[in-house]
Amino acid sequence: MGLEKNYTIILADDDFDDAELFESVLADVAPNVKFVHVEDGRDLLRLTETLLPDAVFLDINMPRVDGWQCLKQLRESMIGERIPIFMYSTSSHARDQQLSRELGASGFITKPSEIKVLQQVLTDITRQLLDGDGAAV
Amino acid sequence: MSEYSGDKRDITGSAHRASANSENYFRQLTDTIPAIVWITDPSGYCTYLNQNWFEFTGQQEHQALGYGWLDATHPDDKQMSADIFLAANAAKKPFRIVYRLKRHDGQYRWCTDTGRPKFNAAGDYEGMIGTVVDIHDERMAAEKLRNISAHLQLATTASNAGTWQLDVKTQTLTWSEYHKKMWGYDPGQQNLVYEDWHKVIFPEDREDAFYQVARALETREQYEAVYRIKRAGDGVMRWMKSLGRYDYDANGDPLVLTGITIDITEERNAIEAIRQKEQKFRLLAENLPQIIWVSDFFGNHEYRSSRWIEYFGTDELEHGWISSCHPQDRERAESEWNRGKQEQRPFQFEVRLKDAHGNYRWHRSVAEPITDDQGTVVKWVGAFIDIHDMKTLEDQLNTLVARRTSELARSNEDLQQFAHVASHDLKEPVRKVKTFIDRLLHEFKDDLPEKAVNYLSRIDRASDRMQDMINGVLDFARIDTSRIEQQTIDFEDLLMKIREDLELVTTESKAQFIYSNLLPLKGTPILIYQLFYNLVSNSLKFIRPEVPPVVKISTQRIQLQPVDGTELGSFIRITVEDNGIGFPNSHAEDIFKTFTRLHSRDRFEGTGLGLALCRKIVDRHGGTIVAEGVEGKGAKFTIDLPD
Repeated sequence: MGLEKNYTIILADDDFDDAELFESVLADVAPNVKFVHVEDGRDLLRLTETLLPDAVFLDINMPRVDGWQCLKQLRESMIGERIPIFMYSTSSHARDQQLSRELGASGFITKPSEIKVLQQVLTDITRQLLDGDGAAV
Repeated sequence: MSEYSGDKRDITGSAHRASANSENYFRQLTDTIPAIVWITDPSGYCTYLNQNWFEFTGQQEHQALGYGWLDATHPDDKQMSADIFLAANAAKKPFRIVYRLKRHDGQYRWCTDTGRPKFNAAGDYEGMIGTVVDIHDERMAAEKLRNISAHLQLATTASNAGTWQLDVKTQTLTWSEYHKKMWGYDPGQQNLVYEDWHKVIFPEDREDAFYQVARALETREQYEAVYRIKRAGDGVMRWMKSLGRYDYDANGDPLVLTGITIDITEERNAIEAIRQKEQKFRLLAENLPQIIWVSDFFGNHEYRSSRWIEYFGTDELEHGWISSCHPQDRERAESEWNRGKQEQRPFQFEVRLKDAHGNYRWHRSVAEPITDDQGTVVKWVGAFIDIHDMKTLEDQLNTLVARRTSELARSNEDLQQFAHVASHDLKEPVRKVKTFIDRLLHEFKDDLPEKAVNYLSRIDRASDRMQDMINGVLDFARIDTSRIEQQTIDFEDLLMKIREDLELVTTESKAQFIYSNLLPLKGTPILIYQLFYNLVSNSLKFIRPEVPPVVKISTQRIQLQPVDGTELGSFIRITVEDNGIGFPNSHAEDIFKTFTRLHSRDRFEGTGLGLALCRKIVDRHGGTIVAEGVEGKGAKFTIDLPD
């Protein structure tokens, strides 16, 4: 498959433990995918001015610019229009899932406490990314 | 006179001069008498009339003499007068005629004409001599009097008045027949004396009745007395009113006391009835804690209860209560009062009134119109009710309620805040603990001693409980803010979903479900789901060893008094019954309290929030949930939800 291409996934999350686990599991299931971690929405928006990611994961509760604002702004921007954006939060509330759909997120992932579950989720998503060659999920 | 007494017939011849002189003298004499004098001859022919006749009638001598005098009588009296005179003349007997005589000015005057026969010494008839007297004024007066007494008779009879007269000198009492009847005597009864009047009067009233008689004499004013009598014969009590007047002689001494007496019993009774009614009203009004007033149609007060003076300190308020209104209320109160009067209907308003010490107190002013038989407003009855304490209390209460409400709102916000903290900050560390336990077991399982693995799994289970607890508290807090809907829920569908979600435990325990008559429910689906999920999972959890659970669920429609209303409402009663371990009935209420656990955690998992959550959900839907239990036999939950 198109392994020449370097795929990039950005995670915006102010929780460093979660970011570390995410990175560790992602490295396990998709070692060729480049992982970038930013601390909040503002950093993510700034970064995407120069970097075009292949998928974005957004925590909801973040300082300065939260996940919802970030999602909205990305969907309104040229680059963010087509890339897959996933909400990645501790919340499992139906209202949050509903809102994420309304704002155009590609999916809503409740942060699992079991590694196996996260492994499964990331395996599915990266496989789709690679198969679809970066196209929308 | 002696000269005249001689016989005219003897005057003849030589005596002729003397006779002429005697005639002159006679004429002079009769002309000075203040009466009309006439003489007729035996045939009835009038031969002489004195000057007074001619002056009175205006006739000439030649017109009057003979039978000419008859022409001066009234045409209606002429024949009668002629007949009487001629008959008397023929019979040579005295006569008396009353006729109307035409005076020189044309007026007919009543007169009496009296004549006597004249005889000479030999006893021969010589004709008549007589006088005519004007009795017109006397006759008129008598007639008038007759008319008056006829009228009086009519009047006294018509007005049920008896007349009486007391002769002052003889102290004899003359009563009219009607008066006798009034007193209970026979109208024809004679010989009634003063004592008969006196003895029927009530002893208590007697003294005043007599005093009034004496007083009228002394002051020369009208006699007036009101007294009661005990009617002779039947002994019935009657109220009497006597009015009278003294007549005095020329010397000013009293002659008679004349008067009338009226039976005023009916009037008196009516007045008494009104007086008693009024007294009753006053007694009531005076004993009421409110200020009571009665006014005429225009609002002028006729009565004010003593509370008025007690409150306002004066009975003389220039503009009544209006001047005592609080300046801020005055205009409104006045316009309310005027509008009420204009529309003639009961009205009320609230107003602050200044008391004697200058303090304003809130009053409710109420007024009702009193109408007569025709529906016209004749009076107003009203009251000022002191509502100051009530009003102040109301204000205090409102303030208190407002404060409590804001406190509640704040604590509700606090709870929301807590829910937020719990969901995002409390859950977070627990999840982390679980995550890292998981990583430890995942990455280093082979390097860890068995005991360490065992400890880790126990930490993991504790974290699970912690997570359940947090979720339970979160759910519990959310119910308060959830909107309650009235969606129709297919109960059978709902139970199916619950069984799917509890499939593992259902299969493991070999549970049996028995449904009957599952009516649709109304409510918020997610909450109703939570309610029955908790109940069913309890039934599958609290089971006796070796006894497969049997869960019976049924519904029926019933009529109930809702918690918040008075009208009967339609409810669905749902019963969930199991054959599990049950509980002592003394705990039937406790189990709905938060964090209540009847069993150790080792025997039955649980947060102690499940049933508290159930009750809250039912409460929020306006229903009730109660539990019955028999230890070791099973539990039964009865839920009534508004239909």
